Amino acid sequence: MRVPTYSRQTKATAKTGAINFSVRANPGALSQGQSALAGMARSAENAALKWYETETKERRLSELTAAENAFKVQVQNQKIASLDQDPNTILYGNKATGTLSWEAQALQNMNTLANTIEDSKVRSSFMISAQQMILGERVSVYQNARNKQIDIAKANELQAAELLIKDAVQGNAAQRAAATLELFGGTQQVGSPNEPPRTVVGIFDEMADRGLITRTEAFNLTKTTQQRIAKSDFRTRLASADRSGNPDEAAQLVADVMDPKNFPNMKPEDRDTAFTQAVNLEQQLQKRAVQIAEKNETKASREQKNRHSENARDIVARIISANENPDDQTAQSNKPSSLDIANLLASDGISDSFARVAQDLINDVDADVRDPDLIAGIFADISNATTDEQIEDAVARITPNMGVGGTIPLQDALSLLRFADGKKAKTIETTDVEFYRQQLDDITGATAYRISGVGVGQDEIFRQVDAADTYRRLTTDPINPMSGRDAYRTVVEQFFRARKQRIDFLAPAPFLDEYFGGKRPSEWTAEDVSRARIAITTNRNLSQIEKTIEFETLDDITKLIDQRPPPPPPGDPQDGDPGWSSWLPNWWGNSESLSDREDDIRNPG
Amino acid sequence: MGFLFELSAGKQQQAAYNYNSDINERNAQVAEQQAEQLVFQEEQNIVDFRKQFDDLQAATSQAFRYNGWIANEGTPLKVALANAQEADEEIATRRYNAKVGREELKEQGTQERMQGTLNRMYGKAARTAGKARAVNSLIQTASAFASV
Repeated sequence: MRVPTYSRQTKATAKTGAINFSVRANPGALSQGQSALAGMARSAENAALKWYETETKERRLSELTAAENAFKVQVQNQKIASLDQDPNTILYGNKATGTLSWEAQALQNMNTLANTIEDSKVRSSFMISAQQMILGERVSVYQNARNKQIDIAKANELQAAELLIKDAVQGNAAQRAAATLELFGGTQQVGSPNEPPRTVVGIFDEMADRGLITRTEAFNLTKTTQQRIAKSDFRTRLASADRSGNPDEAAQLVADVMDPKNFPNMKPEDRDTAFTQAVNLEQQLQKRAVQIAEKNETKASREQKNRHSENARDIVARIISANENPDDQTAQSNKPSSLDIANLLASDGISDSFARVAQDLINDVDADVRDPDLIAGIFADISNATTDEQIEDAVARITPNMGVGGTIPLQDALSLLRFADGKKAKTIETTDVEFYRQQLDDITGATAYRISGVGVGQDEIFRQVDAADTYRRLTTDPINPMSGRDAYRTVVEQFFRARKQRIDFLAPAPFLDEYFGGKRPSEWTAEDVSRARIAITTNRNLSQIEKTIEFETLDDITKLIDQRPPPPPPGDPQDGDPGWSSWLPNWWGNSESLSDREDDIRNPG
Repeated sequence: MGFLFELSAGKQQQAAYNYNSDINERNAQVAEQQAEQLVFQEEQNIVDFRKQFDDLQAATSQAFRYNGWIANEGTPLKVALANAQEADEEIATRRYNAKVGREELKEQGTQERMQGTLNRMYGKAARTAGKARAVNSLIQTASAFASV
C-alpha cells in the first residue's frame, strides 16, 4: 500500500503588503481659492487704478479746459481791443509807451497763466494749445492791422484827392492847373525851358503803385474824377447863368453843352442831363423875365385897386355919417361933394363906376331893392378868401351893385368894405367872425346843402339864407358890431326856433313880444304889422341897421299873413286839430295841436 | 447679483467634494474590514487544513502499518515528522500571505482616506474661490458703476 506524504502547497507571496498610492493632489483645484483671491485682488487693484486714472485724467482735463478758456477770453479781448489800436503798435509794439506787440502781449499772457498751473502735464498741454491759439488769431489780427494800415493810407490819399478836386473845381486858374496835374499826372516845365520837364504821377496811379488800390480802381477813380470835374464845371456855369438871370447866358450854355468838344470828360448821360438842365434854365429865365414884367404891371394894378377901394370906403362912410347925423355940422361938412368926386376920378382915386354910384349917393339915391343872397354871397367870398386878390375880387362886386338900380344898399356896402379891411388886416375879430360863420353854415346845414345840393326844402333854404344874412348884419354893424361868438349864438337860437315854428325867416323873440303883444302867429293881422312899422319908424333908440332888420322881419310876417288860408267856418274842424284816430294820444297828453305849436313860438325852449 | 451665484457655486462645489470624501472614508473602512476578514478567513482555512493533515498523517501511519511498519518509529516516524514539517511551513506561509494581503488592504484604506482628505481640501478651496469670485464680481460691478 502506498504511503501518502505531504508536501507544502502554498508558496510565500512576493508581495510586501504595500501598494503604490494612486492618490494625486490637483494643484489647480487645490489652489483655486487662492487663485480666485488673487483675481479678486487684481480686480480691486484694476478698479482702483482705473478710478485713479479716470480721476486724474478728468482733473487734468478740467484744469486744462479752464486754463484754455481763460486764455481764449484773454485772446479775444485782446483781439477786440486791437480793433481800436494803432496798426503799427499791433504789429511791432511801441517802445516809447512800453506797449508790446499783439503777439508778444499774447505770449506774456500765456506765460502768466501757465505759471498758475501746478500740474506739469497740464501746463505743457496748455502751452501747446495756447500757442496754437495765438498762431490762429495772430493771422487774423495782423491781417486786420495791415488792412487798417492800408485803409488809413487809402483814406488819406482819397482825402487829398478830394481837396485837389475841390481846387480843380472851385480854384482859380493856377490852382486848377496844379490840382489837375496832381490828380491826373502829366509833365510840368520847371526852371528854364531847356531843362527837361518834370513828370508828375497822378494821385490815383501813385496809390496803385503803393499797392493801396488796384490798377483797375485807379483807372476808374481817374475817370470818375474827370467826369465829376466836368459835371462841376457845367454846374458852375449853370449856377452863374441862374444868378445872372440872363436867358442869353443860359442859351450859350445850351449851345456849349451840345458840343462834345466842350466838357470832353462828361459822361453821355450826364451830358444829356446837363443839356436838359440848361434848356430848362433858359426857359425858366425867359419865363422869369416875363413874370417880372407881369408882376410890375400887377403891382400897379393892385395899388390902383387898393387906392380906389380905400377912397370909395371913405366916401361911403362920410356919406353915411352925414345922412345919419343931419344936425352934425362936422359930418355935413365932411360929406363929399360932386367936385371931390370929380377930383378923385381925375387923379385915378376912384373908378368910373364908383364915381357914378357916389354921385347917386350924394343925391340920396340908394339902392331901392336889397338882395340878401348877393350880399351874403359877397360876405362869404370875403370870408373864404385866402389872398388879398380874392378879397379885392369880392369887393369889386360891391360897387356895380350900389346906387340906382342896384341891390346893395349903402349900409351893407360899407359893412362889407369894413369887413374886407378887417380880413385884409387879419384882425382877431375878423378871424373870429369867419370861424363862427363857418360854424353857422355847418349847423344850419348850408355847408352840406352847398356841397350836395340835395335833401333840403325851400323853407330851410330861406332860413339858411336869412341866418347867414342876419349873422353878417350883426357882425358887420358899422355902429355896434356884435362879436362872432355872440352873433352865432343869437342866430342859431333864432334859426332853430324858426325851424320848429315852421316859418321861413328868423325873428327875435323880443321883437314879437313888443310889436304883437303876445299874440299867436295865427292871430297876426295886417293891422298889427302896420302898427309895428310905425312904432319902428318912430323909435329913436334903434339904429338904422336895426330898423332895416326889423322892417325886413315885418315884410316876412306880412308875406306869411298873405299866404295864410282863410279861416274855416265856425263849427268846422280847425286847422291843426288832431283827427279822430289820435284822440287817445291827445287824451294822454301828447297833443301837437296848432295852439300848442303857437305856444311854443311864444315860449321857446 | 452675480456675486450671489458665485457664492452659491462655491458652496455646491464644496458639497460635491465633501460627498466624494465621505465615499473615500467608507471605502477605507471597507478595505480595513476586508483586511481583518482576510486574516480571519485564512485562520479558518488553517484549521481546516490541520484537520485534513491529521487525516493524512493517520492515513500515512495506517499505510505504514499496513505495510508492516511500525508507525511511530524509524522511517514512518521520519515520514510523519517530514509531513508535519511541511504542514507547519504550509500554515506559516498561509499566515504570512494573509498578513501581506491584510496590509495591502489597509494600504488601500489609507489611500482612500488620503483621497478623502484631499477632497475636503478641494471643497474648502472651492468655497473660498466662490467667495473670492463673488467679491470680484462685486468689485467689477462697483467699478462699472463708478465709471458711468
